[in-house]
Amino acid sequence: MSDTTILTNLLTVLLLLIGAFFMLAGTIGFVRFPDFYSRMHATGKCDTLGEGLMLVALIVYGGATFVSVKILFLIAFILLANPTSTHAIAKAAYDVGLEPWRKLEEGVEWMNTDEDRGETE
Amino acid sequence: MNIKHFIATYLIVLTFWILLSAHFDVFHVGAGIACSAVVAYASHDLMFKDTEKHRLTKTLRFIAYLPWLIYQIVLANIDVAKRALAPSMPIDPQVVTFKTILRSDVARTTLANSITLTPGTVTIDIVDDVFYVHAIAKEPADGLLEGTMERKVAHVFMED
Repeated sequence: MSDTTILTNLLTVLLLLIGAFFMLAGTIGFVRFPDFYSRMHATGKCDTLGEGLMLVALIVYGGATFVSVKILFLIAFILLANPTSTHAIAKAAYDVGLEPWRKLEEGVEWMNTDEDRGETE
Repeated sequence: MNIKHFIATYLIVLTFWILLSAHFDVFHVGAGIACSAVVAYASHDLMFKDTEKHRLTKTLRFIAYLPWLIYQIVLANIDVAKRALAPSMPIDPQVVTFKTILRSDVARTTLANSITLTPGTVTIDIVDDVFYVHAIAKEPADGLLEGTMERKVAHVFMED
């Protein structure tokens, strides 16, 4: 294996790992965050960069081919579609009247959110 | 029919076809040439608006805007990852509103999508001139209200 191949492979693995890390962080955020809107932050942002980095890794691995051009288009569409769909879902929730979660006063855990919401419904 | 718009659309669509097909035999290229003509005829007035001015400058400025946006996206991800992974989970969500100076739909869409992609903020709605933005904590909301991004977008679409 030549030096450039090793370098390419190394870069590919590195990009894949960073991408996977952001996807994981996004998913953990999705599970941990208290309400619908804050969960959108986790999924809407981390997915964009996570997927983007993984696709860049594929481009690096594949080199300058037609497939790489297609992947480049994919990145562009994800960059466009992800925030748009995030916004569409957020707007739908807001229009229906879902109240954003607010941090409660000191001494109250965020775990209480569900009970709070249960009372208002 | 605006022949200039038709030709421009035709070339863009044809380039797209060739890049995506990646076959150079007579059948594929011929089909591309024929199909692109039909599609360009049907959609050339969607792609370009007669009223729009300074299209080239806007496109170039938009391309120049992208690196900054990507940098912001990376910042956003590190920010969200930190908040998600930190045991104390430092979030304090709030909805902020601000009045925009942008007029055209494209500029507003660009700003809305940029806000969604950048640190700690998601655009919920645009009512008339007012943006409704959900921020995950106080700092991102304050950063947004400084209006750096809005000025950049305004510069791109020549509305400043």
